[in-house]
Amino acid sequence: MPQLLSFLLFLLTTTSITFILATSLNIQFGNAGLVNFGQVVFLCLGAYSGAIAFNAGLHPALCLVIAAAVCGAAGFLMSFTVRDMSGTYWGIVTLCTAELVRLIINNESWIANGANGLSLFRRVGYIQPLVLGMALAALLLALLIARSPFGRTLRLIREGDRLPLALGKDVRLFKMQAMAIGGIFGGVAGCLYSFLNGYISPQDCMPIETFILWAMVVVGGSGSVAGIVLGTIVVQTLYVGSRFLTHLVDIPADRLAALRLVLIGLLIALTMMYRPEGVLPERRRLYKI
Amino acid sequence: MNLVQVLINGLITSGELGIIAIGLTMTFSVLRFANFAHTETAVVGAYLALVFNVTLGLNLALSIALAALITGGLGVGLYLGVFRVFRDKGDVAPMIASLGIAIAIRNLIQAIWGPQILSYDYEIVPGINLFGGFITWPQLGILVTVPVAMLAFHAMLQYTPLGKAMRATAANPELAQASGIDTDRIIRFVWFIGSAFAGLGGSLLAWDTQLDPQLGFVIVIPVFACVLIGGVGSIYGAILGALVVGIGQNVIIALDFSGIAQRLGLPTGDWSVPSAYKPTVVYIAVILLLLLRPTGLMRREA
Repeated sequence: MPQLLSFLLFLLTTTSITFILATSLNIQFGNAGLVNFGQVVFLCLGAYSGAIAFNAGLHPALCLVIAAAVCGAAGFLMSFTVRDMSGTYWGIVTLCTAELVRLIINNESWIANGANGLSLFRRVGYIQPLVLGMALAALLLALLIARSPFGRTLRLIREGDRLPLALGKDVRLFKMQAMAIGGIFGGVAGCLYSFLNGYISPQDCMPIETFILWAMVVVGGSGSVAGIVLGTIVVQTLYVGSRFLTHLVDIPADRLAALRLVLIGLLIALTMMYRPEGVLPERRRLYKI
Repeated sequence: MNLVQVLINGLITSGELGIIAIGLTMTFSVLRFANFAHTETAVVGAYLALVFNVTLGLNLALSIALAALITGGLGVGLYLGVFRVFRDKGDVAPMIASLGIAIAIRNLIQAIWGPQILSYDYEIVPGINLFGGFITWPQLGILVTVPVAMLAFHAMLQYTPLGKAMRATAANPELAQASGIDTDRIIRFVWFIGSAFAGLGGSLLAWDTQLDPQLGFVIVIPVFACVLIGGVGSIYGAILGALVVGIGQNVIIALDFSGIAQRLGLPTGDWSVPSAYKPTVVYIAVILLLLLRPTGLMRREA
């Protein structure tokens, strides 16, 4: 029984970290309509900067701040490439950006040990309560952002640049803020990821991680905080839970891992085809002036 | 570095990418969305050729031809089953769906054939020397097949009623429909030809290198680069883009930048781009291109 309990705790903590990442994507795509196919770059930079800072002997709290700052800056820099680019083109640009970062870390071993990955010198204390607390904070912040005038403006921008421009909103500034805030969320999640696992390598930053986050946002309901909670739990359970099928069915583990991703891919496509607003859609409100 | 060898390698990469890019640029211009599953279709073609060639023991050329035809059919199936739903629903929703389809196809291939690297069954003959460069028989096969396929496609596009209808549909679907063209039928043809070409390109690429389930992701950005450089929707632009990407990638890897480094006062040493960075050349090119000239290097032609 303690085994099952510790597994459930592991599931809860990894799901919490993934939830923060999914929230980060949801602020960018769900709220602001920014098609970011390079979301994993925040996991990558956050995990590496956090791990490097921690190995330099800094306090974990300071590491989290550094990771958040690095990724906030990265999101801010990425926002400069948006300009008035269409979602399609920016999706391609962000995918390339994330791959560039991964390949540089992979090939330049002087930065962080290259393809061998970076191990944390010691364990971080109270990591599980820390992760859960951060996920809770992310949830509250996401709710606050969604209800704030800032969140309303982001949703307006999502529907097209013209109306917010006519209302005198600085569309570029809002997109920058959405990218930077999303980056901060992602950086915190990345730092927690390396704290929890005690290890980070370029293999953790593959593009497929981005698309799993997309599955969560799209299936749950992009723009809806409740949807992201549901989407994270559903996709993560599918992803982790299907490992137990190895005991039940006679399929080798690597084939089963591939079939799991087939399922996630189909889930994305079917949702986009038949329920593009997701399972728990964003509540549409009518604002009376 | 042997310049002829660099050019030969560049031309072969261009041929492999170009024939896949033709299909992508066609669907991009007709349905107006970026189909991330297109290169996975190419890999499906490559594995179908493996089934005919290795499992059923057919001749390789026949296997590739059969695989290309079936891939064309599968492409039509993908359009009817998935992407037709998204007509007039913007460009982001079908793009995200195509990402899902790409993940599903890539991993289905991996689930069926496993992650290991496979290759076709053909008589291995030593390569030959061509103008001072070394070239293998599969590569010679590519240098012949790709131009023939492209010329046939050019003739079809320019001189047949179907080709004319395809050009009309790509340029302006509403006007084409108003002129009595059955655009839905034409779009099915576009998907058939685009996917069949992808299957052909995927098989040729796998013949030249090897079969790997991740191949579709490896080439997705290079193929998009060909399309974007040529201007979305331009078939001849995609061919030109493939030449730029294929030759450019090989030339940059072959170049030695120590002369420039010396002038900048940097320490002497090896200043060539390490081959581990080969994919990044395309990534950087795509980012710069979309930032500086989002409409492509060439003017868009219908």
